[in-house]
Amino acid sequence: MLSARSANIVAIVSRDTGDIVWRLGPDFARNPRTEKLGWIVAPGDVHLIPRGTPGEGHLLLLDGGGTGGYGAPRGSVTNGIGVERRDYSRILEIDPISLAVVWQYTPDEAGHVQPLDSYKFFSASGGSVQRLPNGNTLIADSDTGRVFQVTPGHETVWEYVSPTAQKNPVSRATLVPYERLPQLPRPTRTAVIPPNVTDFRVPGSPNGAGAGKITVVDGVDPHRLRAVRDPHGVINSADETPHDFCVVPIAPAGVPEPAAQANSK
Amino acid sequence: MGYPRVYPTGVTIYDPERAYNGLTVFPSAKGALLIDMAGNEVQLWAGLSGFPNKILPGGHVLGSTGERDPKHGYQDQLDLVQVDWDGHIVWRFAGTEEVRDPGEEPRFLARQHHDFQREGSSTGYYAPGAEPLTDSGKTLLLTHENRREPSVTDKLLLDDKFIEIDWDGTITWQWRALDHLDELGFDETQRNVIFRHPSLVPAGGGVGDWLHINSLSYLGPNKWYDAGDERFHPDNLIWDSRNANILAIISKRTGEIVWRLGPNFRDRDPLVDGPIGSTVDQFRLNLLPLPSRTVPDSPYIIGQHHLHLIPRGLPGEGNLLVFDNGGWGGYGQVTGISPTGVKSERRAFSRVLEFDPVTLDVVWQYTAGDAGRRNLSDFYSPFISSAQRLPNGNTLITEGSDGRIFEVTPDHETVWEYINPYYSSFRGRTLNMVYRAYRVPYQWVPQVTNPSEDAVVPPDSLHIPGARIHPALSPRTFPLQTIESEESAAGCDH
Repeated sequence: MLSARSANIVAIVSRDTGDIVWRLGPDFARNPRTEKLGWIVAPGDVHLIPRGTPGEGHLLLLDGGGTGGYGAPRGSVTNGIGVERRDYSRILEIDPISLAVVWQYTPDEAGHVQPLDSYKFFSASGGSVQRLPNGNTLIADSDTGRVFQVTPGHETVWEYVSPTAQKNPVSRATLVPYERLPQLPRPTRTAVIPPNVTDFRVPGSPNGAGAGKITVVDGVDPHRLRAVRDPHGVINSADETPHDFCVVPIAPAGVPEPAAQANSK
Repeated sequence: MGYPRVYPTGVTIYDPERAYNGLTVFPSAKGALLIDMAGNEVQLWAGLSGFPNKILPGGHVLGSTGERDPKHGYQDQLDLVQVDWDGHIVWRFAGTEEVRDPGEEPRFLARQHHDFQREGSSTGYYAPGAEPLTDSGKTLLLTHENRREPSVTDKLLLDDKFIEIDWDGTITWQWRALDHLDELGFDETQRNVIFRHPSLVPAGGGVGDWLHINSLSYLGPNKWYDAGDERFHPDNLIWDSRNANILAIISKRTGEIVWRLGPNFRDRDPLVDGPIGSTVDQFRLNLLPLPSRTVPDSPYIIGQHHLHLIPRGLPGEGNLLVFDNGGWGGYGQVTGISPTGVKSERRAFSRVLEFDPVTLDVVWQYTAGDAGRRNLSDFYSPFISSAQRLPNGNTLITEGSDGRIFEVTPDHETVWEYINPYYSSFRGRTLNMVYRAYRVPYQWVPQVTNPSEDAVVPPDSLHIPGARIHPALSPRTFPLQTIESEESAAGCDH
């Protein structure tokens, strides 16, 4: 099994004949099953989930995004190289027969507002994905140097940021069972509880909140706008902001962009 | 790039010797917020919106008291108000148009969005000898108008309308983009895409936000006009269209587009762009090299924000400054990722460009690569954002989608950085986005008597309680070190 990053192709080759016996891409349009899958851009680390591991028999891959594929020259892409561009990544677990997506981790599952913050899950230059025996998934985000483990319900239960990612992108990471390294003593478990980023400061930086004047404006409810207490905590729907943002909606991957958004809310 | 779950907020870097010291205002999730250099909140006009907020001399702020219900209007502000230090509204305008929304009494609204200017200052930010007026003068507003134009599309359009009003709120001048369709430079492919898909947004049953103009300012006094180039008359207006990738200057007197870049950023094509010698010229931008090995050629400005002319008296005066977002923008050929031809141009990194409007030579830029980063997506905001030239030659950049406001030297060093700690909730998710921030000189806010100028030195390492690892931080904030020893881990800070 292989993936061709520059051409947006995922394939299985027969070891006996050398023939490509199964292929996804490079064109994902004009086929209802691949259209539903959405365009895969610059794929990486594709593999079949091994027997005995949850999801066995499915394909697991990093749909990296960034730039990939060859096509007709257009506007800013004068040579037709890298015509497909997307500013976020997807982890896809695919049934290789039906092409149905069985499980995914995209910016949506990561908790980001799409399309505005989609790029906050974006591993374009490399990265990897590994299914773990307990059904969790280990993901390496290369450019950020972030390696993290998510549950089937998409909760992050472990996260590590490599201190040297600028020099050495984390192109892959593998979680190894303790038994493989009998030379090491069993490490002790110490939980790391993340702080609330709203209050998290570098040394010497004041919290600053409410340090000065708080002014009520004529005729304006001072609580009309509300900040959430913890951006990763439970979000109270009463704090919902009424804003529209500066973009036309973009349909999630796998859903064709609608001709009109008028019925979407 | 991806984001870790944990990173510090507030001021993360502050070098008092090299920064331009003043106060910073931005629209936050709590209201219009004014902070000092150390990150102390010196004033919050609670609940006041701002699209954007701007400070006037004397400690006044401009903003809005609310937005129209998104079900009925897209990004329409109810009004534009001037509020004094103590919260009193001293000036208000809401007279652009009378609207009748379901469930509401008929009412007059400003329908303002994205920008406005008060007479006296071309851009609303500090420049020597050009202070915005506080008790008189004209105000320029960028507003919306719904309109049908069958030659463009069969769908209802949300057009952009510029209005100038006097102090009493009387509209004395207006300009509508749809009246200048033939001057915008669209090719036939683009016209066809716009006809079918004019960037529909749901408000009011569906309306085409076809241009999404998101900045509007005066040129102000400049060397080009002084040398006889009428295109740069100080009264002329400069603006950009986010959805169409157009940057333009219009004549205040005739309304005509007299200078334009985009929507097609290639060598001049007489068939598309008109005869050589026409006033609307279109050339290829002469870019500086991008310091990265993996960068595709990027002649296009995409989804840009805050195009303006650097005001007289500031370093770089007369050049144009723009936050070229990348992200997505433009109408063009269908691709796999853009199956309708909407948002046909994409680029997953941002750059700030300063360029000469006559030669189109880029004279300064800020990208992640210029800042020494390997990955260009480390500096990226696909929407909102801005750039302000400061009197000491530094540039204040709002990387809006990251809630990051930072000041860089001409050599791309970060001498001040602030991460907005306030998140709003949106469909069960959270964002700390900052639309646009401005640095304000102390003398504009005499009420603030003791702002902090205590340096904030970014640490070599920062640990989460319980963790003995290098920080899970916004990695570009901190110079990356080798893994530190047990001793430095003892310096854990929360």
